[in-house]
Amino acid sequence: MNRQDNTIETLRTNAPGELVKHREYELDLAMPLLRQAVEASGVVLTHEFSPAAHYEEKVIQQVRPQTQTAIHREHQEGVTDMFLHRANEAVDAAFDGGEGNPLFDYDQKAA
Amino acid sequence: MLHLTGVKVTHYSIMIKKLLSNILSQREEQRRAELYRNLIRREAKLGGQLFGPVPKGGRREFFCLDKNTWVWHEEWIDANRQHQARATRYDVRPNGILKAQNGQYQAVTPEEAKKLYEAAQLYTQRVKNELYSFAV
Repeated sequence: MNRQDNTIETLRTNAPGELVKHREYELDLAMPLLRQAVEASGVVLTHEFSPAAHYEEKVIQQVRPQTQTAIHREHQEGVTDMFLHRANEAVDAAFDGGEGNPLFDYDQKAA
Repeated sequence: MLHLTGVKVTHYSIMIKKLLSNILSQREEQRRAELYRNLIRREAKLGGQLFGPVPKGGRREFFCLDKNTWVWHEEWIDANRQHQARATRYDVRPNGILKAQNGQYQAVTPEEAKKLYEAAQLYTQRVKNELYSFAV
């Protein structure tokens, strides 16, 4: 469709999908006009406002506590691992010194 | 006579066809106009959500009416439990933005203009992503 003829009146007699296309087109037209008017009002829009950045910040805010929880959990797991490691060492040490100890002398018991 | 009757029948037939065609066309026109209004309503609702939660009993809408017009509508219950409503229309012009409230025009401040621009950018982004991204 020729965008010059892309008026609401024309589109109302066309397919509904064209209404959506027109609406998007209208929004595309509206933003530069608004920007021009805002700058004419004396506002210097040096920093382009980024909705993406806005969302990014929101996501960061949501994710941050989750990350902290995950780090905390990992730390806890790390501590658990450390305890398990120590326990293993203790068990290993017990085995190492277990010769002659009936508790560890399975072969002897089995026999 | 027979010929004349035949002409009359043909004439009536054309008139009825035209009439039906006009009615159908009008209905189609009305349907599409309604569809367009529905699109704007959905945008307005989404636009109203950009500025945080609406207080209980209130209503907020923000939308682009056309390429030169943005509308803010707010309803709320005041401290005296009275229902209040305010509609603000922003007319975008090449040399600035005019704000119309209760039939009175005034120029918007640079601060308000900047906020309007930021809101409009967010609105456009969300409308395209959330309403029209799956449209055929």
